[in-house]
Amino acid sequence: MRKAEIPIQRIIKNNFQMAGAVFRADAGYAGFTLLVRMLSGIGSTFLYVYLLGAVIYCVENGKEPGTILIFLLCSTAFLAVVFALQAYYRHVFAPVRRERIVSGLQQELFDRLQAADMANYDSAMLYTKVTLANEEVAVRPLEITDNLFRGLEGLTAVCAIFAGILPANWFVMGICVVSFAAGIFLSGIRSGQEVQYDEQMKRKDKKLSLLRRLLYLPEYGKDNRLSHVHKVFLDDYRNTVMEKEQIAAEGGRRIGNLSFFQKIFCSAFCIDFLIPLYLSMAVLLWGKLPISAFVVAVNAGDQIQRRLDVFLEVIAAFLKNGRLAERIRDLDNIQCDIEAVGSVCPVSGMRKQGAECAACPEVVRSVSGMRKQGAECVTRPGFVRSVPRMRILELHNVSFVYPDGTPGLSGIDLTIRKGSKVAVVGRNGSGKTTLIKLLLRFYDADSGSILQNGTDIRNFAVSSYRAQFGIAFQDFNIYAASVRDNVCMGEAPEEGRLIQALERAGLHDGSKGTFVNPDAQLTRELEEGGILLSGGQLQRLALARVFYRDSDIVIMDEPTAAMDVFFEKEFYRTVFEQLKDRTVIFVSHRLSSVTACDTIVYMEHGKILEEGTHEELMGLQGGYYRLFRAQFE
Amino acid sequence: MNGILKSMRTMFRTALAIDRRSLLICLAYNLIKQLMNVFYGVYFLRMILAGLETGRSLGHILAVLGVMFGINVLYGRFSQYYNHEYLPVFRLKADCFMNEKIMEKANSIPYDTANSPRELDRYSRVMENSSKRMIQLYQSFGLICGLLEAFAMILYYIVRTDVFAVFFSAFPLLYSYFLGEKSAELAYELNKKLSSAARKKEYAGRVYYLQRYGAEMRTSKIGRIVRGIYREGSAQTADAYRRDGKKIAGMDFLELLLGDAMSMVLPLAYVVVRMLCGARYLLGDFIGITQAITIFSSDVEWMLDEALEIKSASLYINDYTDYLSREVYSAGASEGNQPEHGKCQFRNPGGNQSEHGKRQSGEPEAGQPEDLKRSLPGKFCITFDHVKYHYPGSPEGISALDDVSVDIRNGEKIAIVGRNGAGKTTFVSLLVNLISCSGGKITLNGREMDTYGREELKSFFGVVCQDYKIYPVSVRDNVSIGGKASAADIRDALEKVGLAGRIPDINAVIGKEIDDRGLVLSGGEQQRLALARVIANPFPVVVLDEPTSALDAITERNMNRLILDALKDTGRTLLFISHKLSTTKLVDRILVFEDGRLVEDGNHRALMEKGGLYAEMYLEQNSLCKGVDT
Repeated sequence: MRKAEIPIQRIIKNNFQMAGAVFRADAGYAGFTLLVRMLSGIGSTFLYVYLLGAVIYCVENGKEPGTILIFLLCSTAFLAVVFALQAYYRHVFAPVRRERIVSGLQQELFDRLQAADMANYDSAMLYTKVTLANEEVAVRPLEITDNLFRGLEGLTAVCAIFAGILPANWFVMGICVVSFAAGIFLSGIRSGQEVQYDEQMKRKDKKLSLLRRLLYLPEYGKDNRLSHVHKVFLDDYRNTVMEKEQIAAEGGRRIGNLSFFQKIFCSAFCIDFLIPLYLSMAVLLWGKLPISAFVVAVNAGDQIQRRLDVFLEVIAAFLKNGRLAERIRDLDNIQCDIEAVGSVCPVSGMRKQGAECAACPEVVRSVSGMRKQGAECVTRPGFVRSVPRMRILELHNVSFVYPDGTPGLSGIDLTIRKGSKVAVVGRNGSGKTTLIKLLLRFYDADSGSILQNGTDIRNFAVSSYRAQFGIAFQDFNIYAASVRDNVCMGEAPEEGRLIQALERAGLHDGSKGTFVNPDAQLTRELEEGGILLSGGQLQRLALARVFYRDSDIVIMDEPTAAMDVFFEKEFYRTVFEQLKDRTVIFVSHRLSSVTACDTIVYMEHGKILEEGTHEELMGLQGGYYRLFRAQFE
Repeated sequence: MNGILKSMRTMFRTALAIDRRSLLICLAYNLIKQLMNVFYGVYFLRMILAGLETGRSLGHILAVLGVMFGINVLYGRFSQYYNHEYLPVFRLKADCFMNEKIMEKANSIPYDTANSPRELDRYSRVMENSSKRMIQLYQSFGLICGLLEAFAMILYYIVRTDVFAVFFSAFPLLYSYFLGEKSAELAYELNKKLSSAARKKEYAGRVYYLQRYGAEMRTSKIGRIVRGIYREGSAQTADAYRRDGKKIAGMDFLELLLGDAMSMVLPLAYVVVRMLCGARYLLGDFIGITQAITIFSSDVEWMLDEALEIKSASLYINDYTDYLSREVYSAGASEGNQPEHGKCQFRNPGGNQSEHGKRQSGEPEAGQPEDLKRSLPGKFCITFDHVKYHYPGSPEGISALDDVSVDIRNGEKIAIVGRNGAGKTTFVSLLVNLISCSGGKITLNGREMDTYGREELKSFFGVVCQDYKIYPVSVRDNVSIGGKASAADIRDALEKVGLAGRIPDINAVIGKEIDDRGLVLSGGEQQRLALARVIANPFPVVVLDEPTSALDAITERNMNRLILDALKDTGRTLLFISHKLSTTKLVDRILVFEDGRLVEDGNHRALMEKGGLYAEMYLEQNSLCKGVDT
């Protein structure tokens, strides 16, 4: 929730920068939109203000009916052209172009998100920023542009009106200006109220949408059917709705009063009373106004009033858009120290000076169109371009604390040699997963270093470094794509290698007759006909990913948590057999399966307490021994 | 036409149920509004101009203006009330009212059916659209009434001034009707294409920003595939617009031309032609007639638009009514095949029969035989009698559960074991009546489980599943889960699971979604909280489906012991599913499943002696244990 108010200069800046981004993305769209809008403004002014008056004028001055009819015909032709343009724009031109623009902006955001450090997910605040920015990018820039153009259209129309009636009607113009000014003033007061009202409602909405999710999402379906918790949610839901109703009633009344007063003064009094009164006096008392001019002036006043209303909306939208656009700009400051090296400049390894990750000249445009002033790119000293094949991984006195203060690791010393099978075990919260995260460079250690073949891993491009690892995590994801894509994970698929991986993982077995079609779509997310694999099959798929990748180092984090003892045994047998000559790091607390490893590392509270083979550690009768025994009691 | 009447009836009933005055207020608003419009548009200007032309005094003009101003003020006040105070609140009430009904209905649908993609689709469509469309119908109704009033007033004026103009005004009727329907059809088609494309884009967006995908996005190139999905969605969208857009543009052009332009130009032309033929008009009447025709035309167009809106809205409202009133069967039970013993149907809990009336969850259901209302028995026996279950969509001949017969009595401590896919979870789901059997019977004390009320069963079974959830509400609510556990019971339960120190205040909220100061519990702590649920509440039967799989061995052992201890002397029944065979030695009875059948039933010693599947699994597990004396 934004506590600080955004200054008006910033709001203006946001609006114009976003509009600029849209303009740069597709100047043709901007130009044509402007044209259509202005023509519309002129067209509607003609239709609603001048047409009637012109005809009356002709009648007053005794013009031939034939002339009048021809005039009407030409008017219709003109309007037809304007409408045709409008229709084409609205239904063909604009939607297609807009889709393209939004697609471009969204993909820029994707680039930005991909280049964000994992640490961003840990902080709830930063994570919220990302979600909000994601919501905005598809919508805000175009809203801003449209809003500005709507304002221009209104301006054109009003100018067209004034140009016509100005010479004869100073008073009318004057009243219009007064009405306009009063409208803006009252609107300003009202918008303050509206913002407050909005925020209160939003807070309730947030809670309501949470409760609605609890009440209806299928993932809570079981809970809602098996326990009375449904009642808890429902009561809370009802109470929150009542609170919201109260806000709506009170806030609504206040805003309604202001709106009423504004309407009465600006519309009912100025436009519908004063102007006709003055004009009537002009006709009756001063005899200087023909009736045609009277009609035009009255209609003009009415149209200006409508335009005023629209204009006020445009201003309100301008302010709102400027505020919301800030969310997109928030992303400029997102932390990307680790990912930036390797994602942004994979070739040069260049990094921002001062470790800031706003716009780098190599990246074409950030979503908000921002550029860092005086951006300097420097090559990091010690950068190594190609990552040598792993012979040895060493952790020297590595310590790490999570950004939110949770302790992670403390003084870790560990050596992993090529080809060895290492198991990292310990109770929940002992630091096993943190160790893996640091090995994969999702975070950098606070102190100490991790070396590969003697080189600090921070000197490698992070994507090249990570390419050496094959991963099998407990909470792996299945994507709404084909089996092939789910196994190859974005690499260029090689059919032979794919089939082999599927076979090695046990998904494809000629003798048993179990086949999986590589083209089959997984999950029903995007396709009704997608297939759903069983738990066991999914686990094999995760294994197939590892086999396909064929990396030097494999990391497995709790791969068999949900399996029965037979399956688990077979799983590890497969792994040990197929990955005979690779380096494998297991993280598990299912100890029965890792007894065959070369080295077992027992951790507690972020420290390595015991290290050795299974027999050695059992002999110690320490933490490992106790953990192991607990499984069989 | 029938559909529209049906939906109108639903709308009336719903609106009245929400607020008795609602229809009256809507009518009043619209009648006054249209009165204002017609008066202002047709009479006002005409009266002034007539006055000017015929040289009336300024005072006369002033009077007219004054009256107009007065009407403006009155209408403005009412409009303000209606639009800023009444309608927003009414909308909220309608939303809550209708959503509650939908959600309650959804929760009464058997679990297996509810999770099918088609059912989920239907549910989300009804949730998204019902209250919106109801309000739309409500407003359209008022609008149509108002427009009819406007027609009457305008026609009166036109007929009095120039009868022939009436025929002229009927012009829009022709084009609006045909164009309007065609447009709506085209828009609907386009919408369908767009929404499937939008789903792709939305999915891609989620993968990029949700935390759960973060690790894989950075350690593989799956981003490419996801990007591809986004681009597909985008290309599909542009394509759809390109193709369908032209036709829609054509329709729109015609509508604009005939609607906006013609409705202003033609009346003028008409009047001019009449003057050509010698008719004499007061300028005031000239303007009056043209304005009247214009307003009449646009009102007719408006009316026809509203009619189309009503037509489409009524489709959704009828969806809503149908959704609420249908009987739903357990997917496993009815697939077009007759269940074997013809008995298994999930009947709606009685409470859903009435649509109106006060709704309070937990109220005893109406319409059930009285003897079910008494509290459930202390001594009981649950009997499975040749029970079979077949998942919808799974191949013929393969049942998740096949011919299972077993008795479960109060006080027993039972372990359920078997390999993955053996049917353990299906068995337990049937036991707690989450789903209904495809064949055979499940009875509780002789009466079929299906005939007991949902609310009573909720108090009977306490379940903790593998995918248990911790809710973003207070600790107290998380543990009591809507039951009658007192604060003391809850604190006691927290003590037993070892969370008392960690959670000093049971009113603290868990999770940071609603409150930044919410409590964040680790995985192990969450698991213990879930177990506290079945300790704090006096469920006669406690069912645990592998809730400890994410815990390390020591914690798991402690948790299992804890539960067994807590329930030991209470006479409560405990069933738990587990892969780990270490706990099975502590229970009275072990049920062994394989390929959907119950193959062994006995205690540890008996099954070891038998030397069957259980013994094999147990020895297998032990062989992995090296160097531990058991």
